[in-house]
Amino acid sequence: MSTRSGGIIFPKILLIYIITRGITAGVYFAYCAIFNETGGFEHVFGRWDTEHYMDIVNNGYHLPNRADGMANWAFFPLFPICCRGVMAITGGALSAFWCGMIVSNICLIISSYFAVKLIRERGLTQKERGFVFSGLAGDGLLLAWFLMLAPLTVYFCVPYTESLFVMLIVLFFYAAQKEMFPLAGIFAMLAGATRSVGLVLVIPLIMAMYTSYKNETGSGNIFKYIGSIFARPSRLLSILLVPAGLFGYMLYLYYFLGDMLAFVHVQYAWRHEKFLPVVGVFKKYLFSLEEPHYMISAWICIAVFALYVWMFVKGLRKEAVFGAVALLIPLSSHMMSTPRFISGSFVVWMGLYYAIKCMKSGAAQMISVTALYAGGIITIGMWCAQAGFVM
Amino acid sequence: MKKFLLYLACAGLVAFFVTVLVLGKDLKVTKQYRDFYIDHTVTKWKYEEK
Repeated sequence: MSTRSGGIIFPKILLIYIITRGITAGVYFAYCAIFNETGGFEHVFGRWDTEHYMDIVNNGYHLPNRADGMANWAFFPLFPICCRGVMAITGGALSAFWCGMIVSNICLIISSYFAVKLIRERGLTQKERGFVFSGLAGDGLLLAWFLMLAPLTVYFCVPYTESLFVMLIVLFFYAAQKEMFPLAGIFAMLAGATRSVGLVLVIPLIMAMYTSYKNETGSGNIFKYIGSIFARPSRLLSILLVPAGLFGYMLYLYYFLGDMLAFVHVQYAWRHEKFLPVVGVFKKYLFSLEEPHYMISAWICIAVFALYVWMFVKGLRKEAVFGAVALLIPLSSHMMSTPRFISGSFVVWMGLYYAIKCMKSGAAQMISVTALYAGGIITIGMWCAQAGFVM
Repeated sequence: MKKFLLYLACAGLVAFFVTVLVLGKDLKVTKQYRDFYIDHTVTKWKYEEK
């Protein structure tokens, strides 16, 4: 198992952050120059869900003031709470948008730092071979590059929940790897207060505890393992903490609206179509030439499921199961935003790092990494251009 | 003592979850909310322009 001093990683993470923000700014300025965009930085980077989050920060949760019924209680509270915290610390000097930018970018840096530490702890960075791992991309740092420049990671630096969510997922897996299960439970609880899918982290938590139990006792007996959880209250508490964030929001919604499941029922405002879960959604969009962005999303989902199967076979089982279940949940109703959800689950980047590391051909590695960076730059441009695919 | 406190915390969390589920099992929403978000009998949300 590889362990390194944190002090060696952090300056490199900061340097990667500065370089990738420079690239993002370059794409933004190029877009503004080519397409005569004069709306300004906040106009370009503060769109779509950002508007809802900024509304919550400024006005709290409230009944919708629009005929389509898209209410802001569809969006979970932890990210706006963090933005409010920054607003309070700065004495209200910064707008909700800039508070959101600060929260997202700090979370991005923390995510990258602990993501690199995680894969080093897991031993995934051993025997890195190939030019793509040289210099500032070596010893796991390639994963930081992916979090900051791969396709659809533009969400991690704008006021969206993805950055906070990814940070909490990374911290969860890191704590679970260190067998600090109560801390992992706390991070999962906070993830559940950021997005409902955070609840799925209970599955890898139980898997991590099972691995720990097998290592301690030499026994893989499931019933004895379950008994051991009840016999060790810290582990039982770790599991019970996971849904606490979600239930806290449900209690708030009950008192605010009289409906603890308002965050589910409000989805009707975004989509009226009903499909058979997963199968019906794929059937509708897999060959849907009239909605090409959903068709592309469907094929991306298929490719990602294949990656998760590979990750499971290669031993990244907790991550694969979490990624697959976290993707199946939105696919139970629609294809909308699934690429964003995939990117925001973090584990796909961990899987791609490991897949590229396992490639025997240096050329294949170069092509893969170059394609990822090119895709990242393209999706930044697509964001600037309000392309529906990146919504 | 530490074990007792941990079990107490577990019991507290379970009690919290049960409380939320019992409290929230019956909807206490306005007619407009039910018509739009639950029954889908109306397709537009009525609101007051500010």
